[in-house]
Amino acid sequence: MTDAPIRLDCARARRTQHRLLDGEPIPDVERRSQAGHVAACPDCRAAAEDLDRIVRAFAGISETAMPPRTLDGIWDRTVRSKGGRAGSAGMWRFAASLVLTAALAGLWGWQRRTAPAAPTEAELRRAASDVRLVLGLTGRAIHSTEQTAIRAVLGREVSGALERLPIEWPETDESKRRRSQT
Amino acid sequence: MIRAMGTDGFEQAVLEHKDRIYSFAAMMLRDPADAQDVAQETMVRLWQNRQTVVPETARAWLTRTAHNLCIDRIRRRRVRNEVDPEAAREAPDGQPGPLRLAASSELGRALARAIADLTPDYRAVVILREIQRLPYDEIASSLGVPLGTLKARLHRAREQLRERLVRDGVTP
Repeated sequence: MTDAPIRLDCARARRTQHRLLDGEPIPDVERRSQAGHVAACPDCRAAAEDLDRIVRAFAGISETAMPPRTLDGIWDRTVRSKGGRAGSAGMWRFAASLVLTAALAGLWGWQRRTAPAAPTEAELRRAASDVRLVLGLTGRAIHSTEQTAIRAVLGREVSGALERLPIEWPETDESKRRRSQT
Repeated sequence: MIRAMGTDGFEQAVLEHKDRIYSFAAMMLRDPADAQDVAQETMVRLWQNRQTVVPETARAWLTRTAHNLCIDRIRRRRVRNEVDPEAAREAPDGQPGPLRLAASSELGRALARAIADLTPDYRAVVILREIQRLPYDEIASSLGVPLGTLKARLHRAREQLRERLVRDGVTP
């Protein structure tokens, strides 16, 4: 026993026609109903025949080959550039290291030739300031006994050295005290 | 385990899909010079992503990338108001354009012209399904649309093509 045909209007019959063209599985009853509608409706018959021909005509439109220069451009920008890029980078790195080495050597030589015979007063002041800063930090960081011993050494050796520098040191409380003791 | 394509896989994918991607771009953009640019850029992007794209999905990946690049170009043209529907029919160097070259019969040539005049959404569906015969699910994934939307677009595109051919006096 078969199902009774469905009554299809034109819109549904055409939707079914497209589904058939898509290769969708259509229930047998719907397929027969669609065929019955198309047989009876001149507009839908014409549309169905047109669509069949159009879909067959699609097969006559084939792909075209990519132009060789386009393919060549792809290789240039991808596979070929891989080695090229690596080689170029290596060469550039080598060249850059040469230039850097030459520049450093030149700078070193220039500094040796042009180095002043004696430090300027500003340089000495900066150096002394740095020394005092380092010594102060060091002194705070160590144990008090050691601190005392180191202070004695520093007071004897380093402070004397600092005072021998041709610099007018700003007078501190400590230096005032030591001066008054002497 | 996911296996990325690497250099060998990339070369193989290019050779396998180059004509399909170029044809798709040529039909979408209706301009062979733009199509060459898009096809080349698509392949270069595959190269840049060769460590993440697996060979099994390379075709869908290429289609999606080419489609996105085509849509970008079409949008830029709209901004610059420089749509040229005739461009696809003649290449810049005087060679026949991709659609005319490919269509062998009178109906095929008329159909190619009608496809060129579809909107980009419909054109992409027709090219990928009716000419390149890609599976529906792959097309839907590549275009980023649900399957139902894809089929609805295809149905409407076929109807528009038929109407256009009837209007032009070309009996399908």
